[in-house]
Amino acid sequence: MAFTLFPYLFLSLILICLGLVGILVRRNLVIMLICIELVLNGVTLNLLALNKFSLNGGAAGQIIAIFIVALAAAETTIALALIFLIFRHHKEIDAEKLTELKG
Amino acid sequence: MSENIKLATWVVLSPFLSLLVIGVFTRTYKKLSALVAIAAISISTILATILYFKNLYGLTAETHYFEWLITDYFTLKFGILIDSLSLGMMMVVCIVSLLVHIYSWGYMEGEAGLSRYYAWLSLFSWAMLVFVVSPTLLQAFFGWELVGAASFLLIGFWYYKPEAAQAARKAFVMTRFGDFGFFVGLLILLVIVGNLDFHVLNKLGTSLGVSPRLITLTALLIFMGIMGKSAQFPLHTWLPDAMEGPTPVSALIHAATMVAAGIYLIARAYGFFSASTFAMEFIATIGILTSFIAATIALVQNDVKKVMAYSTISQLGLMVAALGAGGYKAGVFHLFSHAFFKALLFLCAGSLIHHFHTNDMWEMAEKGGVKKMKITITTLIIGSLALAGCPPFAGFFSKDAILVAFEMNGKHMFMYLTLLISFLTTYYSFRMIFVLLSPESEHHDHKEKHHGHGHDSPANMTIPLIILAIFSVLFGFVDTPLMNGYFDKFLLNKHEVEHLHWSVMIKSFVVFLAGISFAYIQFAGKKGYREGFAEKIGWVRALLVNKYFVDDFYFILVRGLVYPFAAILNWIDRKIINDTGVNGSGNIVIYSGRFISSLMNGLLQRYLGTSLVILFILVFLWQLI
Repeated sequence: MAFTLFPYLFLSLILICLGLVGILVRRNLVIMLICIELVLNGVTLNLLALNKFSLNGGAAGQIIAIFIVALAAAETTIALALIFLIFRHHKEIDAEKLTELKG
Repeated sequence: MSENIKLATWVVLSPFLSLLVIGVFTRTYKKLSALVAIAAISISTILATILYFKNLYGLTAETHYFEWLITDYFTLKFGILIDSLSLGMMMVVCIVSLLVHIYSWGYMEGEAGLSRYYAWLSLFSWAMLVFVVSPTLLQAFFGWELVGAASFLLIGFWYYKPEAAQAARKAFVMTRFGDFGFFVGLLILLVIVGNLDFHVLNKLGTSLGVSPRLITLTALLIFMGIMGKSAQFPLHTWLPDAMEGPTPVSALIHAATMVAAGIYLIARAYGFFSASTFAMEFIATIGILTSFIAATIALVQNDVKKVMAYSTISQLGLMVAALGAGGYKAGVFHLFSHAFFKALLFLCAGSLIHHFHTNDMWEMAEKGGVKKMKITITTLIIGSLALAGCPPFAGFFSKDAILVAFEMNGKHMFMYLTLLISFLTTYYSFRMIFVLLSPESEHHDHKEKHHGHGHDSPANMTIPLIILAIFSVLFGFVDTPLMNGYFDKFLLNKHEVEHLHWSVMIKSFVVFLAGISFAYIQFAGKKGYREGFAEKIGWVRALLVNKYFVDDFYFILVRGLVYPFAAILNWIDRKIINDTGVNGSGNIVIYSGRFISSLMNGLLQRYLGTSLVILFILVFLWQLI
């Protein structure tokens, strides 16, 4: 079975779209964070696939992917901490009810 | 700069420096401010006297210019012009102003705003001196407006009294109304002639390329300013109201500054005005009309200051008429002599008011004790004799000069009118005197009589009265063969001595006797209120008491015409300029801001959704390109 680029890209597109839709429709901040992770994973998959199927070889995509993983870990930590603080402060993690930035 | 110019510069600058010093340093020290102002005007007077004695027989014009604005079309200049006319006027202004300054020390004692008062007196003197020495019409206009502003401030000195505030406003608005004409005339001259120097304007009639119509037009426009400033009919009604100010200020306004400015301007630009026959006729007619109207109104006034105010208008009318009829010397002579005796009369009135705390002559007579104020009543009688034109007081000779001027220029109508006015003047001045000297009524008990009566005003008030009385007695002689026709020599550099005009003198003396005896019969030696001949005829009385309905006419005019027009302008301003223009542009910002602000609803997902949609749109557009 020959591996082609298309399924990888399709999978990553599905992941990104699912993530985006999740961010847009769900109101729970934790779910939204998970969806952001989905988008990040989609992007990472995208990079890896393109790296594998690119003609000139090299490992730039893989390196970036490792970076993303590392950064995603850090980012998730911080985001979770923020969500935790928001919950402590407002007793609420519903994005629709956190409207203090309203103009 | 010659010596003369240097001296004149310091004469003018001295009151200005006093204004600055009072305004900046001594504002909180009342007595010190008064001393500064008195010292400054004394310096001016001393320097002016030195200047005068250096040029005892007059001098030809000496000018020094400072250029202010130079363009290709015209040059605007300030400067100092010293000739016989401005030197004489400078002397009069300085002397009267100095005496008023000294007198105010007593009259305004204990006044809270004394520093303010003296600062404005300094401003007034300075403004008038700037006007007097100005070699160009523009500087004259500046001085003119400064004089107006200073008189506004001084008439409204007791600004917390509504009448005083209103009188100040009226004076300012009416003179400004005339000044509008002055300014338009000045601009026309500036555009067409391109030079506002008096020596150029005075030769305008003989120079080529300037049409006589233009001269007539501008002369009439400038005369409009003079009508406002010198209280000529129909812009005269501010002057009697200006009596609301402190009495020394009235003396200053009526004698040396403010109203004298108009007469002085005609004399200063005499060549210019006389280039237009029509303008001169107009000026003379307005003058004599004003004189007659004011003299008749004065017949029924009961307020001593009002009597004097109307007599001022009447005398100013005579000066204007004399100048308009070609009597240059007569007009200027009467201006100078009038300055002395009118200042005297007002200061006497101030002394009486200071003593009795009322302006009404009947009330003064009722309270009694006028006779005990010996200096005041003597000087008041001297001033009235001078005003009425009794020989040999100052007014007699100057009025005589006016009569002679009318006769020589073939204006016999004017001469007889002037005699009639002289009769009225004598009558109303001595009506006042005889009423004041009425025998005291018995029903005053001893205690009331004792209260504050039986003494004259303090010395710093009576000394100026005495000095002015001396001037009022002696000043007239400068134009007689007794002094070799000194005034002609000084003002006109004319060396032959004019003989006395006996026929005119006898006429005017007879008129004086008629007036005084008429007043004597009706008013002397009686008690209580009594009516003069003018009050006995119903409709005449109504006409005079209502001052010929001029104020009512203005009232109707303002109500009927000015207010509706102002209402329209007000509507345009409010609805179109304010609501649409000013608030409109503000509202655009407010509503657009509110719209954008409504997008900021604080919903994270809405933000993200919007960004994504926009991103897609941008990518799509990028693809298209």
